[in-house]
Amino acid sequence: MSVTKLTSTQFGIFVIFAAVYTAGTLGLGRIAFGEAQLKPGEIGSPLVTIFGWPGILGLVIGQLVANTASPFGPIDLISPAISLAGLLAIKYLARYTIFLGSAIYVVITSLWLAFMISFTSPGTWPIDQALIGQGLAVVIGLIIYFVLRRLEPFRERPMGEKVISQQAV
Amino acid sequence: MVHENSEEEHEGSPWPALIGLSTAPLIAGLILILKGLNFTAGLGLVMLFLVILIAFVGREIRHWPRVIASFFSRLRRTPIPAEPEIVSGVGVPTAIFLFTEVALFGAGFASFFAIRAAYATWPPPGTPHLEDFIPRLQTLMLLLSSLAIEWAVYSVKRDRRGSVLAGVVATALLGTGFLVLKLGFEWPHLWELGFTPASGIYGANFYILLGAHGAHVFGGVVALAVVASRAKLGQLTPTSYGLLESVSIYWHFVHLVWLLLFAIIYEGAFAWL
Repeated sequence: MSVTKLTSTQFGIFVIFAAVYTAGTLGLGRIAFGEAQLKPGEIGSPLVTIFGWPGILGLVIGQLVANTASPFGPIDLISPAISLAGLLAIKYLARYTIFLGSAIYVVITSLWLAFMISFTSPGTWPIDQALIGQGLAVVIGLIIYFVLRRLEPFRERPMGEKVISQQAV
Repeated sequence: MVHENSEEEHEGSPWPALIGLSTAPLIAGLILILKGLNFTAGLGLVMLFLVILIAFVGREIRHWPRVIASFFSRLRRTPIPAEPEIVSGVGVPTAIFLFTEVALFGAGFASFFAIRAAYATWPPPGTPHLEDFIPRLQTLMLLLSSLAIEWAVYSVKRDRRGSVLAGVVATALLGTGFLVLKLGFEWPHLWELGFTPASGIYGANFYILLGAHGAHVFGGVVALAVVASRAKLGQLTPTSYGLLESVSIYWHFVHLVWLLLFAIIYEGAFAWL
């Protein structure tokens, strides 16, 4: 995505995904399901298969911004790098099935979340709660993914400039 | 013919760069004057900026009536500009413009953290608690506005003129709503609590940062109004929508800055610093 080819659609997707994560996490907070907690910002993760790199970068930067206010402190600034690995798994495994990449994302981010909790609260290893929280967010994201796939603007893949390049020439 | 030649003169003009660079001596001069370091040298540097600016205006002022007339004729009746606003030409100029915006807000955030570092406790004593309900609503409005303008961009590529206009108008209305919440509800409440720009250096920084952002939102709304007028006249087509593309990128940037303001000012980002 070079600067000379920067389009508002790419930049817009980047900002919208960053906003979804930041506003979802800071604006809505964590939604409690018993012991588990769901971060609304994580719901956008499966959608990177539709929106591509701008979506991935948006979620990573959004997470970085949101985590500056994290109760875990500065260690949570590492989380976007962990999420990036999971998001890449979703994007590249989606050519086979979106479920495999999503499952890997849930496992990777849950392990990291459990580690962070154990780091700040020694003697605990709440992997089950982390799996439930992350799993719920990704399941909701998958539902949104399948709904969006039925809508006209999101049937094209990758999302972007196919139409303009055809019509402009 | 004369007009075409004068437009060609603007290609590769050194004036924007010269004026941009001349702001460095302007700022240096103002610092020398305001800090009482060397009034004469400071005045000289400020004068240098003014001389460059006057030279530019003196050279360009003869073109202004035509530029202004052309702008309004486009708004009123011209179907489509002779030269399409080619979308591929938008990227670099817009990116350079956004870089200057990053520098502006970067300086604002740097001053915020410098002020914060100067206090043993944060927020400074006497500062009222900043409620984040209105900022949350504003965040939601900007998120929806980004979606709306992307809908307009998506629609213009498919020549759906009604949807283009609807998307642009919705974006402008959401931007206006953002300003109404800030100027009509949040700020009057803070002033009632005694938190004003005169409350101290944090108050001044708070209003400068949010005021600068609000000014950018206002500028975006004005630009969106122009885009809406052009859309209504059918001047935005799948091959000529550079104005919408530029305004859209600008609007997303304003949204991105708000996310940082929201996290840092209202949600206590970097509280562990």
